[in-house]
This record gives sequence, C-alpha cells and structure tokens, in this order.
Amino acid sequence: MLEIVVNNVMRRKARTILTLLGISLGVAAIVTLVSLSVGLKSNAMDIMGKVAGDITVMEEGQMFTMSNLTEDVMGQIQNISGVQMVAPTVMLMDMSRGFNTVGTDARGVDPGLEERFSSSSWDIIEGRPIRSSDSSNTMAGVVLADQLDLRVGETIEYMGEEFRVVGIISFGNTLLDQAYYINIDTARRIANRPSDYINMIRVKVSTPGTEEEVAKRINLTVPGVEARSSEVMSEQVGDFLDIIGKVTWAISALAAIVGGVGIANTMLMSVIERTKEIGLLKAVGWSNADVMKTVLLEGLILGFLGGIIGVGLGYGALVVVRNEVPGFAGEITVLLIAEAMIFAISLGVVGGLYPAYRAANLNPVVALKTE
Amino acid sequence: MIEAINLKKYYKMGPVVVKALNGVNMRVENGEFVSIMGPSGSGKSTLLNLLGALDKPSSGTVFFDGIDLSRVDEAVLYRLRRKKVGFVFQSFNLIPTLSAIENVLIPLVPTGTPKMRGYRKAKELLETVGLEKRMLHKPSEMSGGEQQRVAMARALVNDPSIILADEPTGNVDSRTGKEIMSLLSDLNQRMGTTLIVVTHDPEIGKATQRTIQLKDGKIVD
Ligand SMILES: Nc1ncnc2c1ncn2[C@@H]1O[C@H](COP(=O)(O)OP(=O)(O)OP(=O)(O)O)[C@@H](O)[C@H]1O
Ligand SMILES: [Mg+2]
Repeated sequence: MLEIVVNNVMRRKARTILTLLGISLGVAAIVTLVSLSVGLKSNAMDIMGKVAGDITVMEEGQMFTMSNLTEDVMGQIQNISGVQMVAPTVMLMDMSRGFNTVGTDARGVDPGLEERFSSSSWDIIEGRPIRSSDSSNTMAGVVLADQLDLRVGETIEYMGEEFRVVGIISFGNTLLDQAYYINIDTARRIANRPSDYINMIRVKVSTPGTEEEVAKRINLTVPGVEARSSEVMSEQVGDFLDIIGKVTWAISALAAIVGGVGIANTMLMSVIERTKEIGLLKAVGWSNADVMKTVLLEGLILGFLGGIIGVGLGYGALVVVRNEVPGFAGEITVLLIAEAMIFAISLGVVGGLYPAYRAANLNPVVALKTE
Repeated sequence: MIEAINLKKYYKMGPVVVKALNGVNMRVENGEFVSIMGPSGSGKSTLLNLLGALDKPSSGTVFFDGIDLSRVDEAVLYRLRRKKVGFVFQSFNLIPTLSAIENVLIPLVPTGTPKMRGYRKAKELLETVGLEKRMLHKPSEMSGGEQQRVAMARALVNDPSIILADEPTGNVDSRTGKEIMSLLSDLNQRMGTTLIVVTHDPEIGKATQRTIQLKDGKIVD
C-alpha cells in the first residue's frame, strides 16, 4: 500500500514540489516567526531583569532620557528601609547614528558605585572597569566591541568627544552590551546638564522577594518619582509579548492553511486524473475504505514532507536573522518543531479528506469508462 | 454458479430512458466457458458488470454462488470481487507507473497477504502467461498483447472461481488474440475456472462451449 502511495506522490514531480513549497513556506513562517517572537520575549525579559537591578526609578510619567532626577532624590531613596544600594545612570543617545543601532547608546555611570553595584552581573572580558578619575575613558559592551572590532587601547569618537577604550564588559544582555559606559560627570557635561542630574536610579533590595514592597514604599515616600520592580515590568512586557506571540501564530497558521488548500487542490486533481485507476482498484476488490486510506496517506506524506522542508527553511531563516542581529535569543525548540510538524501533517490529512471521499465513492463502472 | 433473473438496467438520460438491459434471464454453471455476443450497445458490458458484482441492477437480481446480490450491502460485493472474481478489460487498465509484477499484485494489497507469498504467486502467474522476462517492465514498455497478459495474471492472482473478460482481444492483433484465448481456455480446462467472455469475434464465439446472444438488452436465440 505504502509503495503505491509513494508512487502516486512521485508521479507528477513538478506539481508535488510546488505543493510542498506551498505548505513548507507556511510551516517555515510558523517556525521562524514564532521562534523570533519567543526570542524577542526572552531578550526583553532579560533586559527587564537586568537593566537596572531590582527596581528602576524614573521621574513620574517620564521614561529614559526624558526622565529628570537629582542626586538628592537618590539620597532619599538610599535612606528608605529595605534598600541595600542605589546607582545612578545618565543615558545618552547619539541620534545622528540612528535609533537602536550599535554605538548609539552611552550610559554615564558613577565608576566607584557601579563597580560595587554591577560586579555580580558583569564580566570583564578585557581590560578594566572605568575609574572615577577616567573622564575620557570608556568601557564598551561586548556586542558593541564585536561589531565595531574594538580593542582595549583604541580611541573612539562619541558625540564629538574622543574616548579611549579601557575595558570590554559583558552583561550577557544585548541591550546593555550594545552601549558605551562612561563617567557620569562626562555624560552630564555632554548632555548639558547640571552636576547633580540623573535619568534613572537603580535600586538593589536588601532581601530578595521584597522588590515590589520596596518599590511601593519608594513611591509613597519620595514625591515625583515612579519606582517599578523589574518583576512587574517584566510581567507587563511579558503579557504584551504573549499577545504578539499569539498573533504571530495566527498569521503564520493562516499562511500554512493556504498551503493546506494547495494540498487539497493537488490531491483533488490527482484523484480526478486517476479516476480510471481508482475504478480498477474497486473492480479488483478494494473497498471504499482501502481507496480512502491510500488518498489520505498521500495527504499525510505531502504534509509530512512539507513540514520537514518547512522546518528546515524556517531554521535557515532564523540562522540568518541571528547572524544579522547579534545576541538575538530566537531559538527553535523541539516543542515548536513538533507543533509545526503536527500542524503540517494534520493539514495534509485534512486537505486529503475531500479528495479521498470523492475517490472512495466513485462508481467503478463509470470510473472505468472515463478516459 | 451464476444466475441472472429478470435483470434490468435502465439509464436515465434527461427525458430519455436507455434500457441497457431489459429483462435478462440466464445461468452459467461452474466450470463453463461461455461467450456473450451481440451488436454494439446491446448491453454486453452492462451484463458482465452486473454478473461480476461491479454494478447494481435497476431491478431483477443476480445469484452469485447462491447469494442474492440485490439483498446484500457494498461490503459483501467488494469481498466477492476480491475473493471470487477476476476481471479482464479490453483496454487492459494497467497502472502506468507500476511494473508488471506490481500491477499483478494490486488485488492483493488490501488483503494482507504476506509480501513474499504474494510476490511468489505473481511471479508464477507471469511465468504462466510467458512474461517472466518482463516482470519489471512498465506497461509503456510492453506491447498490447503483453499488457493484456499482465492483466490476465492480475485477474488470476486472487484464485478467482470466475473470470469475466470484456472483449479481451479487442485491442490486440489476431495472432495475439488467439494466444490470449488459448491461455483462457487452458485455464478453464486445467483449473475448472468459469469463464464468461464478451466478444465480437465469431471465431472466438465458436471456440466456447456456448454463446449467449444479446440484442437491445435482451437475450435472443
Ligand atoms: N453510464 C451510462 N449512462 C447512460 N447510458 C449508458 C451508460 N452505460 C451504458 N449505457 C448505454 O447502455 C447501452 C448498453 O451499453 P453496453 O456498454 O452494455 O453495450 P455493449 O454491448 O457492451 O456495447 P459495445 O460492444 O460497444 O461495448 C448502450 O446504449 C449505452 O449507450
Ligand atoms: Mg462493451
């Protein structure tokens, strides 16, 4: 039986290949888009978790470079019970380089404080961290260094100033590893801000698990700020990314269903072409169920092959994206492959249902008369 | 034994009713070699298909080994075809993408016959019809006579008790036609297989034990 089915699949090679292309592109879309959205999610979670320690504080209603805080506010936060340590950031964006490209971001940090605050979350790949006396030295994130081929000792130019690279660090997080780290005083000068200016205050709590509680306390006691525990932020971002994930599934499933319609069409054609043969099968004693089985098996094989090719294509596309976007966490899981394969095979079988039904119910006498 | 009782088959073509068979009574005993003759359109193929449980009559019935075919469901009909009937057609009806031996094996596919056993049987049959050298050839690589002999091997692979042949020599030259007829009559004599052959050829008609003449859907004497 299987030989006959395989034989039927191979009969019209060009048509089979086109059909497979249809379904495999749909499957590839599923595999690529879903793994990209999963990657996006894990990157985002990563960033949320690491961007600023346990709690991030910004000016109420403002984000990132728009947020305007002071050393004074940081002092107040430091004194709140449950707070172990605080660290300031002044974020710079060189918009002349384009948004979110390598070398756009620089973060001004307090060198002494930062070493204590981040020593558990960064690895020094090369060189050393910046010191308080380093006004025109910088540490480069490892992704940035890779992209621009930076070595320790080189000089770079950022917003019209020259900096010497003294260290290369890795947070294991694309966003953080794409930035330059410079002295906060230098950053204030470049941004034309007063000497107590801060964008963002990062807070570490004394006891793990109290992030939310401490964030609430900050919001209650310090006026004009908004403290968010990274957990809550991750949850919000996570919810949003879940929606993106579902939409992605839906869109790519739609693409695959188009492929499934292709299978139905191909099989209907091939069943019609084989009308006379099907009449013969019935004349020599094949039951309706036997005929039906062969056609459904044909659909299953088409779906299976389309699935395999699709997973391969999707994987290829993902590799390309990963090469283009360094540090991107998109990944094809076994579960995703299994889901995509089951989906493709079901499409094949469902696509084969109507053709199989038609074939099975042919009147053998009429079928044998067709040319 | 096969018996037709007041067998009728009507086709409605719009307002016109074509009476392909219009009350046929006949009986063929086991082991007989019978021919059916008659002008084109007289209902020969229609009769043969009804006798072989391939089609259903408009009225009347066929008794096949005592089973009233008008009273059983589809499943009994296909099992009957699977186990007891072998069809041979004028146009061979081989599957073009399969080799000779694969074509012979087709009736066995849904029966669950062990592969090796089926294969041996098919090989034997192809030897019997003189095609041992053509087993792996596709139909397009064979002559009409060779193709018809493959079709005969296919009709025999399930050890049928009856062979129904619809103008088996209609698409081959007269010498090949004689070979095919001698294979059939040989089968009838050695194995006792019942044979019903539809033919236009009076020579073949004479070579059979008995000829049933059809005209306008009725038997004439
Ligand atoms: N499916 C059908 N629909 C309508 N009419 C049909 C159908 N099948 C057969 N007929 C008609 O029934 C009559 C008998 O047909 P049948 O094929 O049995 O003739 P036949 O004796 O085998 O002829 P031939 O020698 O040409 O093969 C013919 O008039 C034919 O046109
Ligand atoms: Mg006929």
